[in-house]
Formats: sequence, C-alpha cells, structure tokens
Amino acid sequence: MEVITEIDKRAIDRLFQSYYEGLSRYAYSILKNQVAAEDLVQQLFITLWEKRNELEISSDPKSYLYRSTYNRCLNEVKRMKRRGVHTEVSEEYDLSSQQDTSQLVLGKELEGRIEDAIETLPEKCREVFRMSRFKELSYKEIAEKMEISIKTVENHMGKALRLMREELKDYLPLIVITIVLMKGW
Amino acid sequence: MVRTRNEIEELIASFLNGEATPEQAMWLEEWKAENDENLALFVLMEKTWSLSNGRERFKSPSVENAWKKVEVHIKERAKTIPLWKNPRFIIGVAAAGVIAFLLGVFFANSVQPEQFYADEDPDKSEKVIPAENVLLASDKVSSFTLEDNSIVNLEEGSQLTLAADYNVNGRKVELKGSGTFEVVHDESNPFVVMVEGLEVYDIGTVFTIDTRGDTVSIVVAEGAVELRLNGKTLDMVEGDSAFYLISDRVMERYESKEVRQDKVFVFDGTNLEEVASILGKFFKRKIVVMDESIAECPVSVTFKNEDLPTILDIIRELLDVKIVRNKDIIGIYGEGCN
Repeated sequence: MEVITEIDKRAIDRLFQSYYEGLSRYAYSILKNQVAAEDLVQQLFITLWEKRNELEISSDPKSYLYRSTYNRCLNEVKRMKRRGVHTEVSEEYDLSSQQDTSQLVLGKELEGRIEDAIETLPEKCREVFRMSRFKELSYKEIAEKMEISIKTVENHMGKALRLMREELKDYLPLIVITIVLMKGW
Repeated sequence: MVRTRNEIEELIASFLNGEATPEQAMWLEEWKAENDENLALFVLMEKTWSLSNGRERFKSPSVENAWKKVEVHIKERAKTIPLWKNPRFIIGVAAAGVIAFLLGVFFANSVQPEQFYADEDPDKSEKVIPAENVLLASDKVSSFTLEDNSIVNLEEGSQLTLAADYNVNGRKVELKGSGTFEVVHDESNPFVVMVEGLEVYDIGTVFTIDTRGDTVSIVVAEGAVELRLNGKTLDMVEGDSAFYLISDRVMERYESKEVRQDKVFVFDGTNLEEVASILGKFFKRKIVVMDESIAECPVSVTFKNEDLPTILDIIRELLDVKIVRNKDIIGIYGEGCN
C-alpha cells in the first residue's frame, strides 16, 4: 500500500499514471459518458493539487481516489438529474441507424440476433435484464419493483451477461468488427 | 478474498452497470491485472454488455494527453498570485459576504439545500461519521462508514457510540443492540467494540454482534476476533460463534455444530438435488426436489450467512421453480431447467 506523506507534483504525476485509466473507467461505468468521466477524474487531480496543503491522506491513496471518484460521480448524476440532462443518450448508438445500406442491413441483423439472445434468457433473468437495459433502472429499483433482493438482481444480471455471452459467442468477433467499421474505430 | 467465477461475473456485470462500490472497482482492476485470462474475460463481458445494452465500450484513454491537460492547470494555478494578497479580492469577498448573508437569510427557510458528497464521503446509502458521534438506526437497518473506512451495519433500534478520540487513540466504540462490523484492520490502531461489559477486539475481520435480552451472540464471518472479559480472553476465528450472558458475566464458545453460524454455501454448477440435500442437512429440514425434470438443474450461486427462507427465495427466482413449504417437508417443483 502506498502512503503519501507529502503531495508534490511528482506524487500527483505518479498517482495519475497509475490510476487515471482505472478511475476513468470506473467513472464511465456510472456516468456512461467517456468525456464527462475523464473530465471528472482530471478535475479530481487538479483539486488534489490545489488542496495538497490541506489534505492528509493517511490511508491508501488509491482508496481515497476511488472513493472520491465515486462521490463526484454521484454528485454529477444528481446535477444531471436536476438539470434534466441525459448525457447517456449522446453515447448510445443504434445498430440499425447507420447510413450505409449494407451496414444498415447488418445492423438490423445484429439487433435481431441480440433480441433473440435476450429472448433465450430465463423469464426472471430476462425481466431483470430488460428493466436494466430499457428502463435503465438501478439494481435497487429493480429489486423493489420485483420484490426480490438486490443480491438476486446481481445474480440475474451476472447470469444474463454470461448467457448472452454464450448466445453471442459465434457472433461476437463479427459484431465487434462490424461495430469497429461502423464507428470508424 | 477468493471469489468464484460466478461471483466475478456478477461483479463485472455490476461494474458495467455502474453499481460497483469503490472497493469492488479497485478489486476488479487488480484482478484484471493479475493475468491475461482475467483480462480476456473482462473484455469479453464488456463487449457483450456493450452489444446487448447498445452502448459504446469505454476506450482506453491517452494518459499522456490527459496528464498534459491536468499539468497545464497545475502550472497555471501555481503562477497565480494568491488571492488573499489581492486587494480586489478582499473587497470582493466583503461584498460577496454581504450579498451571501442576505441571500442566505432569504433562502434559509424556503430552500432545502441539496446534499452532495465530499471527496472523502462514503457510499450513497451510507452516512459520514465524524468522531465523537452517536450512530443510531432508529427505524431500519442502517449502514455507516466510519472515518477509517470500516463499515458498520446497525440493526433497527441499535446504537453505536464512538469514543471521543476515535481513530486518534485507538478505535473504541460502544454498541447497544446488534450490528455487523467490517473492520479495516490496523494493528497499530486496534478496533474494539464494547458491549455490555464485554470487549470484542478485531484481528482483521467481519463479525456480527447480536444482543437479545440477556444474551450477546458473536459470530465471526471472516478473519478473527478476541473476546475479553474480566481478564479472560477467548479467541474466535472465521466460522466460530460464542455467547455472553450479561447478568452472569460469562462468555462461552458455541461448541455444537447445530448452532454454528458459518453458513457459507458455494454452489458452482451443483445440481439442484445435491443443493437440496446439502441445505436440508445443514438446516435440519427435509428438502425434496419433487420433479425429476429439475433434479439435475445446475445451481451457481454463493450464499453467505443467509437464512433458509432467503436461500430458497433466491433459488426460486434463479431457477424459476415453485417452493411449497409444509410442516415436515419443503418441496421444490418445476418443469425443466431455465
């Protein structure tokens, strides 16, 4: 465990190199917007620098950074809700909404395949998955609506992703290539 | 912490859905870095999630470019003259203070300020606890993260008082009622729960203290604790349970297996019939799979310290089976494996 006794620029640089990607990925998982996620993590490090004389990070700095990222994300989600902003929409993509005809056909085919895969999920599992995907409900909200425990929601979601992976196994390389082509990655 | 494959997959799903706690996210990053196989599983699940949810995957950022952006801010701000040395700032602060005061008076009774989390604050469901505080779970089970990141889940009607010098001179707390403690272990800064004269010393642990009438039960779910009473000690490790009779000031270890509470069941593709048999033996109930078509259905789930009704509920949900309980027997009914 790394312990920081004094926050200087080299210490910040080292922390940044070590944790920036992981923190950004974590922020993205909550915000679902890569630009916003990276901005948030950069701002965290800037604040860390600005408050370096006031802060005492006696515990693991990694824990501090992850918890700070988490709390900042929650605040950001609150702000977005308050402003009625749904940044998630900007990052969503529709496999069938492509310009090129061949890509359109392929996109629709993929959507159909994905829909088929969802249909193969066990009933409860599918219901949980659909609530998460289409209604964008949190695990807690799903648990309340279905009157099951959050643990059960976690089980269902893990199972759903595992089964979907199996169902899309043969398709996955093609799907990835298709998305790469469509998104111009 | 050892996790089964299913638990890891559930954790990845939670992470991708934005449900992971900071601790889980950190664990996952470390796990991914352990070997290529772990990384491959994560990427595959991430791709599946991306496709099935119609969202882009997170793209590895350029850390170098990002650092340049941060560095510019750091440099710029380092060059800036300190504000408090700027006369304009002093006048501005004075003016802003007056305006803020007036606005504050105006809004104080009409606007509820929205609460945001400080960098150091814990989970959204938890409350931040400064030292010298009394934590109360008045009408429901409540979760608290202490300033050393230890987590306390207090049962309804329970109370935890933190010592005035908590986290400065050790970590002493006094419990009235029941609670579960997930302690961040620190040998140089011992965590001690005092309950009705008994002292429970953490030695790297998750443990539960349950006060019912004249009896305090202590169950160690992970790690170890030491009980101290009137100069006597009792060491407990994972899976052990003990009781303390308040009026008699006696502590004893539970020896009989029937009252051990290390209810950890790891099922990883175990068939339902076997699951029913294992649970039946442990809980001393007759649990029978009534339909042959579901006897071989695989069950992949881990239960930690769950009671039998909860376990059966989860199995019912997972396998989409029907569970009928009567006085002597618990029957599991269903058609085929889901």
